[in-house]
Amino acid sequence: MSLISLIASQKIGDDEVAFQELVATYRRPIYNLLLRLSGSVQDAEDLTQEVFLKAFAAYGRFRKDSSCYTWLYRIAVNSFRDHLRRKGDGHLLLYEEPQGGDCVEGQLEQKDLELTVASALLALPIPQRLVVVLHDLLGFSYKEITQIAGVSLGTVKSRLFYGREALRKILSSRSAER
Amino acid sequence: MFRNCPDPIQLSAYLDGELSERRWLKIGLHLQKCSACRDKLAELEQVKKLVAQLPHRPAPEIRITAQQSPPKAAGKRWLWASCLTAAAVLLLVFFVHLRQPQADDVAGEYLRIHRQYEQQLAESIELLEEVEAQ
Ligand SMILES: [Zn+2]
Repeated sequence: MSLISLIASQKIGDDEVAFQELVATYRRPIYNLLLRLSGSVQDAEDLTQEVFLKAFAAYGRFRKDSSCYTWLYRIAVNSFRDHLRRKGDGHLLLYEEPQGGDCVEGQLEQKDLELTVASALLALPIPQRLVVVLHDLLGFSYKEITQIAGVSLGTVKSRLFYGREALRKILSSRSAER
Repeated sequence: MFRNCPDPIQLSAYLDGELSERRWLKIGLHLQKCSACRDKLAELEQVKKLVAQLPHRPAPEIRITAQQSPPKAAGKRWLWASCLTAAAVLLLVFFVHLRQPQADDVAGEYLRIHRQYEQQLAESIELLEEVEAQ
């Protein structure tokens, strides 16, 4: 990379409108990725804010390949990793229930199911959790996940399988407890 | 599972439609005659559906202004640092050039400093990219 292209990449200026569109499109999936990875509404909100600040700073460099939105998810994954490092122990995450307004009676069962699945996800090792959330919740293809998570296709495939197997075991042991 | 059953990792990829056509056909044929693999596939599918059914929660508002962009400011600091380093090295090269009359020495010294400069610049750029990548 030349010095000139480095300087050019620092210029953002007029792109704010286009950037707002990017925010409008990706704010929700990025937040939900971080919510299911971290299990904490507060952390997910803070991290989402952080992701878009970083994305804004790096926007000049990435906007040219706008079809490649995976860079945004890569920032989210890296932010989550940094967050775990800052927090110290990433394995002691508990699921925090989102404050989703009043609960109508019919929704109780649905909410219970969400709580069960979301907390089971948090019991997975983080690399498996990441691949399962990216694929099964956000609908990314294996190839897209290789770009977001920075792992090979074979790794995506096996982590997804082992993640699903682990989830199945956790969920069936929890339903047996009742 | 039997001896000729596919690896369950392949079943999981079959479920996602992430196999080559040849492999996909092969597993499809196997599934027709193997109830153990059909059961395994059904289990995986159930888990996949449970995760897919998690609601997508509304995201918080994102507040971004040009002033509110610390990584960018940090990036600019590194950029300045690399520019200053480059300028300092160029001055040094010029100074050495004035001081040393022997052509060979000058060329050697120039090359050495040039390499040093290149390395410093590469380091600065790496740091800048790290800051941006975070
Ligand atoms: Zn079989």
